[in-house]
Amino acid sequence: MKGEIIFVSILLVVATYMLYESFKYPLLAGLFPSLLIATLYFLSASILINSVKTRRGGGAESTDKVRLLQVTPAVLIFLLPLLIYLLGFYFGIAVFQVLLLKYFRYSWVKTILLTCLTELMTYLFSLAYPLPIGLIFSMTP
Amino acid sequence: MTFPLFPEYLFSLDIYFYLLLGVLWFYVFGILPLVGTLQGLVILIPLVYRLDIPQAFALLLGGVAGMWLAESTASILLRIPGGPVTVPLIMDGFELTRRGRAGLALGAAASSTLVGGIISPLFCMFLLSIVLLVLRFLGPAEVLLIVLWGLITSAVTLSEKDRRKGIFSAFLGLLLSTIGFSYASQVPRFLFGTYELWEGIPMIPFFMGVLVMPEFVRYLVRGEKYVVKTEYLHLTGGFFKDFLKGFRETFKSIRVLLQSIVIGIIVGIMPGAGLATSSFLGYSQASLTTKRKERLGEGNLDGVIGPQAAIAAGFPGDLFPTVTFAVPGSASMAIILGLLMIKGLTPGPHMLARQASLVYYMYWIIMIGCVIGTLLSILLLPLIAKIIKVQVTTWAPILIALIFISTYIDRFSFFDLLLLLIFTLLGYAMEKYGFSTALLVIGYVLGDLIETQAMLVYQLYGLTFLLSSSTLILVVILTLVTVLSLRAMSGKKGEGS
Repeated sequence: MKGEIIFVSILLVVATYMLYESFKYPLLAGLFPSLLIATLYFLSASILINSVKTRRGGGAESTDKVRLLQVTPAVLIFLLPLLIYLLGFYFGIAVFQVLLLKYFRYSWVKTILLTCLTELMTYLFSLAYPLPIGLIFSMTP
Repeated sequence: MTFPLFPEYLFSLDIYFYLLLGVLWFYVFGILPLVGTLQGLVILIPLVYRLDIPQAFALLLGGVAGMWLAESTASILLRIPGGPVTVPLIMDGFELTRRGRAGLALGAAASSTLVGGIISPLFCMFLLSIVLLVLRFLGPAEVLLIVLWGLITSAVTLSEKDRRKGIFSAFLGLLLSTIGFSYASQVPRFLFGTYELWEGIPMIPFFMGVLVMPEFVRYLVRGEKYVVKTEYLHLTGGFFKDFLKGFRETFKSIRVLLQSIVIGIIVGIMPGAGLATSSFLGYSQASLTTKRKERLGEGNLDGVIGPQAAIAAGFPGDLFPTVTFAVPGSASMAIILGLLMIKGLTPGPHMLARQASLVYYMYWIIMIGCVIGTLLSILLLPLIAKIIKVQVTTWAPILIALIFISTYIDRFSFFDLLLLLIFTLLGYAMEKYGFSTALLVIGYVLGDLIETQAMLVYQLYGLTFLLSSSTLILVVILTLVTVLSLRAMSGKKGEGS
């Protein structure tokens, strides 16, 4: 499968970088990771060969093309750290939740109620731990 | 050497408060679709590791031990298994519900859970006493061999579809564990230009990203909705009479009950075999030994008793190799092992020899948790349909927010939120392409221990340790145990399927 080949290749690139780095360390420090990476090379070669064979045989090609619209929740999840960084936990999480619930077509009443519930949870956490208020709100004029 | 069978922690009242909290927490996770024990454990970790060790274990181990009836209830009443563990219960359990005999199935499940959950920890404590006597014969080389054996056995048993991918996942986990300052060689390694990785990859974003988040991402991207059919759900009138009858019926199938408990303990102790295997084996064995007139799959009560007793007995067994030899047999146990390490304990023979009372305490709390959790689950039965009917899209955003907050408060670092996303991508891709995230976690948790032990053994004996007689005997025993049990398990699985 194409995706599998790309995934294993990315891991191999990272492993190769780590192998290169491990040569810089003293023998005792570099030996264990080097042995692990060598095993990973061996295993990934076997996985890749198998994957290419499967592909040539015409089987198991992934057909689940995900439409752009369906990816929206995942994009929102991956944007959440940025929202938290900019707006802090209170507002970042609130924006995330409103967008996600509206995407799933929840009514405004339910959306606001659920968001308030999450905000309450965040507030309870903030009583015990210092949660940042975000870059935008921490800027002084 | 002392045998502190009744640890003092058991007499402290706050333990029971945390135990009750844990039972309620895992009750909800046991019922809700999409999440289960593993997710419940991971999300709790950042919140519990500020607690004392006994309190943390009361919350986690007691809570998990108390959730089995709740998880099975969803399978029996609504045909919605909380995870692969309770799938066998659907066959006869839901069949009984369809016939209006849900009480009978739940009563039998409750008594099987109680018996399995009491006998198994007692047996494991007895086994611990024997292991404590054997420990003096184990040196670092033997411990290393046992840990490696556990890892390889887990890799083989947890990756039935493609063993190469299973072993690849375990080795990738081991490689990730080498990131950060190595205390064994006193050198910082693979920091990728940031000092945030000085102490290695932090456990919380790693566990959350690899084990919890991919499930949410996949589900939310698919945007499906669970439709819960509750037409057979009538918990009134004859239900409670049936429940008591089912409770008593378990003791009429004493052979099925006891054999399932033995299966649960043995399979639980085998690294990587997991509770799902116990449950399926319990079911297949029940099909061979049942004396009831109904056939299995057509509402035979032994089809409920077998898997349920095996599940309840399997969890204490699963903990056994984790605490005795630092060999976690599943992702959940890898998390427990990680928690022990966060708390500054070194699981394995050393901990068992020096802190035996803590290990005994863990088994007592599992037993008490099972009893309290089962009784509470019985009381909360009417609530179950209400909880399960709440759509995933309603509670998933709240849990995602909780995951982000928990990850942040671990080290108060935004970098950890980025790590969370990176590991979410890794976990998502691994699951999509058939790699094992459970093995990745097991490898990651064991990596440091394996490297330290290997270095110690190398410095003490060089490579000659492989030729010592005790090591050779251990290698032969472990190989035989692995080959025989793998053969037996694959044979039984074939029969079960």
